[in-house]
Order: sequence, then structure tokens, then C-alpha cells
Amino acid sequence: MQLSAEEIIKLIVVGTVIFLIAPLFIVLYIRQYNQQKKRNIEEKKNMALQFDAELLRTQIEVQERTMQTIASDLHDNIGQLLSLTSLTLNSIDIGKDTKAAERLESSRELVKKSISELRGLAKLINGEQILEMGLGYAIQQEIDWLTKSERYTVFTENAILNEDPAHSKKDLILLRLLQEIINNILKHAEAKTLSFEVKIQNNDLLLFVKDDGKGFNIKEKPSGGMGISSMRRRAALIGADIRIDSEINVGTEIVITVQYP
Amino acid sequence: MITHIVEIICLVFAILFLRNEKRTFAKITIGYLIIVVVTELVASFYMRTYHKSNSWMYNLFIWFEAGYISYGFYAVLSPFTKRAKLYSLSAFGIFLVAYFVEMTQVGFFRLHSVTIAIFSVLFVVLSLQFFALLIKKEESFDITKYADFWWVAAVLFFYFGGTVYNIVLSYWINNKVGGLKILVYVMQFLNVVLYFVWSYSFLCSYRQKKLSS
Repeated sequence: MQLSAEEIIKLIVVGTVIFLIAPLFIVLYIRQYNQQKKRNIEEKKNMALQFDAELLRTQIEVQERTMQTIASDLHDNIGQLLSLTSLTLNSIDIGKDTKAAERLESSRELVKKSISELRGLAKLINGEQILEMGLGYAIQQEIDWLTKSERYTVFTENAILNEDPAHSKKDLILLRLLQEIINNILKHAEAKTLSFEVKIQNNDLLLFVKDDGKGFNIKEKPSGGMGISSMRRRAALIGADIRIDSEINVGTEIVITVQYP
Repeated sequence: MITHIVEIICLVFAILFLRNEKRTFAKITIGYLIIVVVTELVASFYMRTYHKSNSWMYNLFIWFEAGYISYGFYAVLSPFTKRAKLYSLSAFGIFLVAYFVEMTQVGFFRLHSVTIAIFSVLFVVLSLQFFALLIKKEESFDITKYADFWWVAAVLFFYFGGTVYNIVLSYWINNKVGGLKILVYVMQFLNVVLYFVWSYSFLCSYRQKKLSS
């Protein structure tokens, strides 16, 4: 088939335009892709900054919480024990008192108990140091402290007690979330029984906290504390999911799920 | 005429913006553009004065063209891949084979249009390879200041845009049909695009250098 000159001209012009449009699209696509990449890098940077800021805030909160625990332990527990020891020792009259030996023995027991309490307290002094023993251990310390108050019946299933420390940043935020849940229970729940369960299932860490308190309406914003939205935001930083079920006069159940480690 | 003007403008841009560059590629670029301008002027003068085909001059010139573009790809691909030298030498090697095969078939005085078409395809492939590697890179880049990007974009526009030109040119050489005039316009347009974008690339290179100094 012989093409006419006019057809050849048309063919050349149309063909060349098409073959020029293709590289133009490639250049535009790369420009668009590069802009998207730039935005993603900026977002990542911002997220990293946010994460660091949130982590710092969490560290401070954990330290504050530890200081509160120390203060309340010193005041309510060790302080009382030492006052009682002082009283007992003051009441002893070595020459006259026939029960002196008995009272001395009692004082010795009180001092022993104080030392033991102080040792327990020393372990709490640095919240982050607890995490060096692993998240399971840190969680157990929080629950033990709660159990010791004897205000609640506490049930615990801690399946990660012997897990090695894995992810310090993730652990710190998880510990802080648990602390805040406990804090909310102490302040608002009016519960009698508390249940804690922590385990690892299919590379996910699951933390269940359940109380039989007065519950609350999830749709209404509860006042005080870290706040649910703030807890969710912080959980999102480590890719954790928080599920909260609460029923008025029945209690509240909170489940935190996060990929672990 | 238009082609000569854009080529000279591009050479002026290259001398202005690349003369202080330490990169070998910049020096080779200035040298190559001098060859381009001289070849075009001499070829044009030869045809007008002696009324004879100047194809043999272009058959000589494509050595420089293929060599320069191949080296250019070596320079721009080097930061992305260790195989830059292999790609560049392979392209030039294929050009050599095509050139000598066509030489035995059509001789030295007829334009080696098939060789031109073959290295055009090779340079399009290398351009796409550059863009693919650029996309894969984790870091983003400032497109308005990225000299290599625009150098490759110009090459892609010229050789991919010239696909139809190359096909029709081979057809025209064999059949001597009409439509040659439009081929001249197409080549002029492609040259304007190539040298305009290259000029912009030299400006980018200058800006980059100024920013980093």
C-alpha cells in the first residue's frame, strides 16, 4: 500500500505528538510521585517528632506517678510503721517493764517490716528501670502495689512475667497506659474486684483490665485523668488498639492489643 | 536556521553555567556542543555550496552523539547503580555493531538511519531505567534544581519523540516518497526541545553548585 504525501505528513505529525506526550506524562508522573514522597517524608518526620514528644511526656508522667507512689507509701505505710516502732520503743522502761523483751521483739519486727517496705519502694524509684526487667515485671509491680492496698480483690494472670525486655519505647507507653487505667479505676470506678490479664497471642500482646465498678457512658466524655481520646492517641503511636466496654453499675472492661514485640 | 540558533544558545548556556564545574561530564558536554554547532554549520554550508548530500558528515557525527549520550548515562546513572558503566558501554557497543553492519550494507555516504533508530531505542530504555531508579530512591529531590533529571528528560523527549521521525526517515530513504519537508520541521522542533531542556539543565547545575558552595 502506497501512502500519499498528505497521509505521511498526518502520520508524522500525529505520531510525533503522541510520542512526545508519553515522555511528558512520565516527567509529570515523576514530579507528582516526588511531591508525594516529599510529603510522606515530612509526615514521617513530624510523626517521629510527635512520638518523641509523647514519649518524653510519658517518661515524665511515669516518674510523677512513681513519686506519688513513693510519697503515699512513705506516708501511709513506712511512716506508720516507724511511728509505731518509735511509740513501742518509747514505752519500754528497761528496769521496770516486765514486757520489755516482748516489746523489743515487736519493735524489731516493725523495723524489719519497714526495711522490707523500703526495699520494695526502692524498686519503684525509677519507673523506667523497672522496664529493664521486662514489661511483665513492671505490670506485676503495678498490680502488686494495688493488691497491697487491700482495697480491692485483685485477680491476675500475667503470662509475660518471664518475657525478656523487648521494646523499651513500646513498653514505656504500655506501662503508662496501664497506670492511667488503674488511676481512673482508683479515682472514679468505686470497684471492689479487679481483674488483670496479660498475654501474648499470635505476635500480639493483649492486656485486659476489668472492674466491677459503677461504669460510665462511653459516649460522654469522662472528666479528669489522661482522657480516653488522649489514651487512644498515645496508643496509636505504638500501633496499639484500645477497646473499652462499659456498662453503668456493671463495670468496665478495657482491652489493649498491640503487635509485640 | 532555528536549529543552529538553539544549538548556539545551548552552547552559550553550557559555557556560562558549566565552565567552572569540576565534573568531567560538564567538560565533555561543552566539547560535544562545540562539535554539534560546528558539524551543523559545516554540513549546512557544504550542502548549500556543493549541492551534494551531507549524510556522510552526519554518519561521522553520530559517533560523537552516541559516545556523548552513552557517557552521559554513565554519569547520571552512577549515583544509583554500580552497573552504570556496563549499561553505558553496552549501549555504545550495540551502536558500534549496528554502525558497522549498516556500513557494509549501505556504505558510508548514505545516512545510517537504522543505526540512529537503534541507538534511539537504547537511549529511551536507559532514560526509563534512570527514572525507575529515581522513583525507587527513598529520598525526594527538588525537581526544579535537579540537572541530571532534566538532562535525561531532554534525551527522552528527543529520542522517544523522534521514533516516528526515524521510522519515516528509513521509509523515505528507501522509497523517496513526499513529506520530507515535514521531517525537517519535526527534527527542528525536537532539536528545540532537546537544546532548550538541556539549557535549563545547565542552569539547574549552576544553581546547585551555587547553593552548595
